[in-house]
Amino acid sequence: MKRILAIAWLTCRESVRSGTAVSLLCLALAAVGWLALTLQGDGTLAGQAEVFLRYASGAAISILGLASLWLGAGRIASEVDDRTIQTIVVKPVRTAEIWIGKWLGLVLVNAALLAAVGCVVVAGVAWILHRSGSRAQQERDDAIRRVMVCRTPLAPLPGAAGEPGECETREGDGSHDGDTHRSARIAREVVPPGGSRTWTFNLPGGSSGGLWLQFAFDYGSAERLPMQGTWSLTRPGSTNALWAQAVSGLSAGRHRVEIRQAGKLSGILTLTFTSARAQDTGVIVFRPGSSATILLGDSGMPAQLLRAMLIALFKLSVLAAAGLSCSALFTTPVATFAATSLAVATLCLQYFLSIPEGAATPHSCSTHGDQDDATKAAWYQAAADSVTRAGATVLKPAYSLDGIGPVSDGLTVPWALVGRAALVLLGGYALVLAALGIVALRRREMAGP
Amino acid sequence: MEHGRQDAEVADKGERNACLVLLAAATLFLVIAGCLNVVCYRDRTGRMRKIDNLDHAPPPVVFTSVVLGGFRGILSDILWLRASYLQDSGEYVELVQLADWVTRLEPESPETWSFHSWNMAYNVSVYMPDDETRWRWVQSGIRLLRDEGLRFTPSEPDLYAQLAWLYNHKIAGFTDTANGHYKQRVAAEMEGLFPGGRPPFHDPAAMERARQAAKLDPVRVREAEHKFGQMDWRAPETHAAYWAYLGTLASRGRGTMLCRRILYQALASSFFRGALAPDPGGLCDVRLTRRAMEVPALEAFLNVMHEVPQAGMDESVSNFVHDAILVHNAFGDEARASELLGLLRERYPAGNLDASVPEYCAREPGFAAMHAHGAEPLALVEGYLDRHWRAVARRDAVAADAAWGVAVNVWATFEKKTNPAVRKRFNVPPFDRFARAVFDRAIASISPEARGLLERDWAARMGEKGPR
Amino acid sequence: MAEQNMQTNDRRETAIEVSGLVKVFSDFWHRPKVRAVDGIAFRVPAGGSVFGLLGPNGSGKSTTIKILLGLLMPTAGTVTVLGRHPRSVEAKRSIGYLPEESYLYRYLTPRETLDFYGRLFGLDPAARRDRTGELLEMVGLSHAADRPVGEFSKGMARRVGLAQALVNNPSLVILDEPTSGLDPIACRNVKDLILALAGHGKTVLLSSHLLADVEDVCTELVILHSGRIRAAGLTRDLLVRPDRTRLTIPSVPPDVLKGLLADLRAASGSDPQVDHPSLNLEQFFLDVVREASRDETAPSGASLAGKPAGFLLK
Repeated sequence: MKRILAIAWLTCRESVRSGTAVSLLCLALAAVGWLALTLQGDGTLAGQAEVFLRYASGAAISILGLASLWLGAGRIASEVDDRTIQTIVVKPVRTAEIWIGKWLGLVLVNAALLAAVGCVVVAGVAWILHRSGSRAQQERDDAIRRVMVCRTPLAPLPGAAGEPGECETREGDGSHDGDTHRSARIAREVVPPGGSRTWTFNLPGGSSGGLWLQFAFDYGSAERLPMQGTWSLTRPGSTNALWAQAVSGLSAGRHRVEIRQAGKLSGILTLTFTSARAQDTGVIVFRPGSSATILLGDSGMPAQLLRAMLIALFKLSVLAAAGLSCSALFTTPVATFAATSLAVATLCLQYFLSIPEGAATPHSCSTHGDQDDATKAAWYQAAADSVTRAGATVLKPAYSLDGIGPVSDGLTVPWALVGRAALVLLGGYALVLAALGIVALRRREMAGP
Repeated sequence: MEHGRQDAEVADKGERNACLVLLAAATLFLVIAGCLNVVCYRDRTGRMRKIDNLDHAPPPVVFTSVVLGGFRGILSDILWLRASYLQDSGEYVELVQLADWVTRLEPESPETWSFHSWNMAYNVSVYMPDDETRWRWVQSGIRLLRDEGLRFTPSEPDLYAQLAWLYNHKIAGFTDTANGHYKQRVAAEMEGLFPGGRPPFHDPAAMERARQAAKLDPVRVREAEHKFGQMDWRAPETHAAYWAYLGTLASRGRGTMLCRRILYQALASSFFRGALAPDPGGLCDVRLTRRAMEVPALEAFLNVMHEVPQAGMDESVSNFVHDAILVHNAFGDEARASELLGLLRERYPAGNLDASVPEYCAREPGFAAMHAHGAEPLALVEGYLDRHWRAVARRDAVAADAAWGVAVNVWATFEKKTNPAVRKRFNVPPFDRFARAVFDRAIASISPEARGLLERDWAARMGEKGPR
Repeated sequence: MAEQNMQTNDRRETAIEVSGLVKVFSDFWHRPKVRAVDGIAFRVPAGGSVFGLLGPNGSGKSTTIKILLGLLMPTAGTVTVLGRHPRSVEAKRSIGYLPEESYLYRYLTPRETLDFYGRLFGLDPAARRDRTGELLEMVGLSHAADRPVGEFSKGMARRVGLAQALVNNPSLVILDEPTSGLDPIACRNVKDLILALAGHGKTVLLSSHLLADVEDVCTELVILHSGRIRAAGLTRDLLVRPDRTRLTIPSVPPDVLKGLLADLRAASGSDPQVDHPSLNLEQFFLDVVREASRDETAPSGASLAGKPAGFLLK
């Protein structure tokens, strides 16, 4: 362990004294500053702050990610090239200790840089929210509450039918000439005028801070009539509403409503939406999976951003590991190229995953109608698709680990997610890369003729 | 030593000669490369629909274009995918920024500009909870095209057409329930730049402010006014006409059909509901016809019809002329109505066109006829009210009563055939406010001696709520 | 048990054993390019010897050393260092290595460099501190202990390299071109250090193509050429000329000398040569510099080094 820490400390010191760390920090901060001045939101103060939070963090993490990759790619290869590694290899240091020490050094440098970037991003968000302008104070206050506070989403319990997310929906007495064009499963989400829908929640006791209801729906009719009705919270089997709020004129999309009530709510509660029975009330189609969520607790955005940055640090660590392992195999320029290609391919695969299976791909129609050529082309296409999908599937667990997105949406980043990120990224990908790198390093000759 | 010096001189001379040869070779290759580049550039512009290169682009766009090179397309696709994903999920916060980046990565692609501006103005705005937020998204769509897209591709007629369409359909039209709010916002903005809706040509500083804020070129504004007559620049149709007109000029005749179609639609709207009546309440819901706009509107129709001699175009022209006849007749301008009737007889000798103008109009006097052809029934009511007060001014009670009767009848029919929600969407003001605007315009144009007659008539007919 | 003891004794007595060593360098496609070492075998005894590995440039000296240290893998043959495989971590605990060039981390100071390598050997902070001080004193870099190595001249960097090779008080010291880049005084000091180390039971393996330096310190040597051993054995045995005798006496009057020469001529039947012995240049240089340094202040670069660090001689 001492040797690992010694090598890690050497890496840190070198990064600082060679100016690499300072240059990276300046670059990341320049990106953050430029984004703060140029980013456009949706015209609202809160939107501007959210977009800045997401993209400034993302830009800084991207810069640090590329830097981790390149620094890692140059770390071992350059030391083999200039032979400084010989003075370490001849010492009683295991190959694994060399690799781990260098990796740990890069991780420590990244941690320091991310911490600095995180502080600047928080300062940037605060600056956007508080800078002088023509915004009304109410809008400013609302934006601060929305952006600087993160809440924990609480999903509804599975319904009586036993299927996750299925809840009771009652049709209204009158028929409505609506125009729902989704499948029968989605029909459960449909609430016509006069109809209602319920969800069951189990609120934990002792949660401090406010409660918010978040719901998302689409129009269910061609006239796009808005939502009108009442939301209420009751105990199961009781008709006394602990909380009720009428809503009207809401257009399709995602909305949040604050649950203001006297006293704390906890335990099993039934949330009901009852649609108004009026001519200008629309058919509501709640979005499956995000129909209704209760947001609870108040946690400061900086604390949540810290957790998000931890997840980002784990991702940077994987990139550093990739760079180091390439560095163990190849010379500096080849290692840099290989590591960069790997990263770009990984990034592109993420978007490949969003294309549905079996999506129509344009056939390479042969103008001469040669069946064999067309078959071959189709085979190659299918093979390429399979390979890329396999790669994307292997990387899929990493893609879902994101902390910045929830924080910019005003949601908390649970420690469970951080733990899972550590397990998957560090215990999974980084470990595999480490094994490859260490084996490669062991087999590599550290000197030339 | 002598030999050594001689050897050194020979070596120097050899090096100099080698440098000269290399320099000459490099120059030759550069010249050849330059010649080849001209050929390649011609070939490239011929293959692609690129209209302009990046001469007009700001430094960041040039930088990304040069640095990223061919990867621009991939990055643009990734950002576009993200925008689509977010939009499908109902997340709109990032869309403005993403649209900005996508278009900056592909500034030479008019389809990209067109799609994103339309997407924000149409698809996203309808999901917003209130009119002001909706307006913000419509404005984002307009700004993307007007302030950025046309800057990069100033010769692309499709972009002008798209911008004109946004003004003509989204704002000036009635399909969006918030269209009244949009009209108010445009009117408010333009009132600040062009007080009373008229360009202050005498004030270069004000015209420059209008150029900065709304990208209205003073030279082109003057040209448009000269060509189409005085327009009310607080009305969205005027802007539609302006941008469509610019589109017809931009590409020097190539691919401008869409612009010319939108131009005649905008000018027709300017004719039927051209000017905003003075409105201290700021509601901007009383619009009065601009009969002078009929001539350039008809000219624009015919201009397109000559190139598109199809049945659909024939119908558009004949419908417009028919409605124009009704409006001119309502205002009592039988001469112009008669000219137009003659035009109908000449070009579209179908139906019973041998009648005189009053007979022709009497057959189809009311709201139903105009509504069937999509024109504004309020223009008819306005015309008959105007005719009424002019009849009052010349003490022709019979004519005055007749005109008043028709106006009230058309208004009543209109109210009967529409429900309050539809009238709200069409920004139809209450009758008394509408009548007052027509009255104010009429009273301003007659002799002072007759004003008393009109005031008494107003008091008599509008003393209590609703017309008698 | 006796056999094991014998083997153990053998192991203790042998620091390095090389047998049938071959090293062929190949290109990326594994095509053989250079046969750097071609079947050499030698044995370096442990405890108090200085073994020289000599040869012209490209003879395979450095390659052999790199194989001994595990930096390269032999194509064929066996190598044991301190009774273990060259890549064994245990073996490396007792080895100190000075490479032919000073491959140091340019952003570290000498103090940090020695501290870092000391940590790799698992030394505790107090030991690291003490040894760092002593070694810097020994190599004459105490005054430049906190300057980055990247600012040093070649000679100063070499001294740091020498210091790091000794930080763990190794029992086997491998020096590749140890006097390269050093001034004559430093060369002398290095040679004295080598002799001192050997005198205290350490084994020194020395590789050089500077014959004068090797002759002064090596007790045993091997001469390589084109990857093969051309000569091997104890230095005195290789260099002595048993067919000649040299006689050194104080100066005598010419007639006494004449008589002596006549006797020798008559006894040997050959014509003896007479001249005055001379100092070697190194010794003369050292004397001059020592005298000068008594009158002047020390230069800004490396100063005259002190005696070997105390911990090395324990």
